[in-house]
Amino acid sequence: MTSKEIIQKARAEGRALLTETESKALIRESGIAVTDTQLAHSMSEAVSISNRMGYPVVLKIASKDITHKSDAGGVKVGLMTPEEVEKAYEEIFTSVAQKYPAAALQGVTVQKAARPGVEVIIGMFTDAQFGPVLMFGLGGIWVEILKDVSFRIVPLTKKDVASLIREIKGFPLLEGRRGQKASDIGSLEGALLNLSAFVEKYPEIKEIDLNPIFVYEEGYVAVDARIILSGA
Amino acid sequence: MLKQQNNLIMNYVFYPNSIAVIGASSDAEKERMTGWVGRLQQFGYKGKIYPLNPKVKEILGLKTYPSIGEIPGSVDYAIMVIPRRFVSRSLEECIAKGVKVVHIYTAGFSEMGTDVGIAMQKELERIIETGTTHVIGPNCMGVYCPSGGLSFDVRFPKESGSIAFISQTGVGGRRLIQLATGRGLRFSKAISYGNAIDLNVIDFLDYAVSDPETSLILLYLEGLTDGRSFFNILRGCKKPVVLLKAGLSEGGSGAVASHTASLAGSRQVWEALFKQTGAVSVDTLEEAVEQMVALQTLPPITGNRVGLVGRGGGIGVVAVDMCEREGLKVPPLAQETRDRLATIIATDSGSTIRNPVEIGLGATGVSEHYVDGLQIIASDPHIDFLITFLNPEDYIHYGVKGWVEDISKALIRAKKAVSKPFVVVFLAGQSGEVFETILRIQRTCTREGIACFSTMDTAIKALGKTITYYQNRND
Repeated sequence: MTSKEIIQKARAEGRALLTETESKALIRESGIAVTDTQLAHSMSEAVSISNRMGYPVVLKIASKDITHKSDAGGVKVGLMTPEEVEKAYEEIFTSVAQKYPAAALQGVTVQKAARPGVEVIIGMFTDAQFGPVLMFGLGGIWVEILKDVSFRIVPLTKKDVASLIREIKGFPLLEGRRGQKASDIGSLEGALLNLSAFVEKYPEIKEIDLNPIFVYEEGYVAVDARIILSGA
Repeated sequence: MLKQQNNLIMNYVFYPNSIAVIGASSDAEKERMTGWVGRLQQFGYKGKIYPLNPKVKEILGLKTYPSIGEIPGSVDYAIMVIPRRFVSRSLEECIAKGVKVVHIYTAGFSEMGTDVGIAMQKELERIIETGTTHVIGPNCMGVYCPSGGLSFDVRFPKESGSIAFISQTGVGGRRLIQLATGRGLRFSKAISYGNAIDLNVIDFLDYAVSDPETSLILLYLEGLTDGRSFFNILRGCKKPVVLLKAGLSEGGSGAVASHTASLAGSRQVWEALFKQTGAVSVDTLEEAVEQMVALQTLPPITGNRVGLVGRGGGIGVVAVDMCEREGLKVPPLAQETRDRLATIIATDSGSTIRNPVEIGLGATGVSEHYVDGLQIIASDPHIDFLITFLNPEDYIHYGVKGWVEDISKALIRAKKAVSKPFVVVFLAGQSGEVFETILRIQRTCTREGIACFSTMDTAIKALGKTITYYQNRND
């Protein structure tokens, strides 16, 4: 499906929140690197997708009704064998059934575990006065604890993305200190410029979280993506 | 609005050939003292003035008209100073007459927050849609444009300058103009636009950006309806813009589903706007004046290394801390500079020639070495600009006569002789004589293009922001 079709389908179903697979499909179109994620409707399908992708893999519950997958016990990481995938599949469904008995479940998403890197977040929200605004900061669990983030109004220029990345307090983590290699800041700048152009093209999008993004010496990958459409 | 069309309308706003005053008082003395007819006459407006009043034939020597429709010629501009209940009817008559721009001075609309006020404003908005007449206001002071002979306050200078001031507030706006002109600054245009049911900040800003009379723009803003246009115009503006955004406190942003939205607030977005557009953020009307003094008098400074010059070690040390806080550096002077300074400074009497450098005016008036010292420090390759501070209270204490004239002359000489930009701080004191004197010197100096301030704090803060502005612009 194209991005337009994904957005239309969600609208038709009365959903503002896109699924992870849908969100990643849109983000991929913007030119931002995301992990390969496929939907498995059954345990055996989860195993065969895992075998094809190669281990370790990550399983996440796929449900249009569940926003916070981790809290629901719906995420299992670092799965090394087909047996571990089967066990994780069962545990996810047991836990989610307990915590969200009314939720409709589509299955699980399978993705190849990404190699760890420096965790950052790129996000977007729609300001009532200025329209789309991008955010950049330290990602993963650090977002909520340190709130080390900064903002720029769309459209962003090259100068905007350069200063945005460099003004967060945690920037030295990306520059590489104490024997750590420097992260690929240029590729992150490219991602921010891509996202700026993308959200201008799709005014239907109200909010985006790409969190975490793993940044490497060369390149980066967005491991999770969440897109929320505007109400109308 | 199209730029060309907007400029055409703004030409009627600032340079109308004819003005109708709707609601001129039949009491001539009252109209002369507080009315618009009196104001326009006293301020030297050269166009036609049509007072509207159904009761008398003449006001302040001008023939009156009972209604706008009976004015024989065309009317570029109308000022409405009538009770609220007559405004909508009068606006309809202005539209029928083909008045280009109407300034509704009358208040009592949406700003009241009452159902009646809101409904009456809605009615005005509806009426505007029926014609081509444009509206400023309601609830605003209107225009101050010395080159057009217009002013909402006769006490404002008739001399024109190059600052355009666009203000949502009326009384605050008037105070700003008083503060700024008292410091020697001059305006090209000022507009208090109030509730902005038609012409709004975007229209005025768009005009000021390309107005050849204007080199610096000051904005006082509370609300904003079209943030994206505002952002785009600011981003394209090549002139320095000083922006006082009032009401920055965090509003509830409602329910959000993403981390991003939960971390975002209106303050962060405005901070982004300042970084992206280079607009200079100020927090108060007073700070706005200091910032404009810096931007109007100083050349584009991009280096941040200061030479501090003045008498009083402690004042200098405190100033060094302030400089560091605002992102300025106070580096040691080159050996050659210190050697040269040693020839004019009495080091054996305890004056220091590090940075800060202690050079004062002698107890008998202006030290002959003062300007020489500034020149020597300015020639130091480690220094980008100078801040020099003087303590007028000392001279009064010593009973020095004529020091104001001496200082003024010395500074004007220094302005020509010193090779790098410098800023003068006349340290304010508690004596009435000092206070009055400082006001006088500051006015003279500002008009001579010398940047001067009355506290180290305001000077250093304004300088820090000025340097950031020019660094951003050059990037």
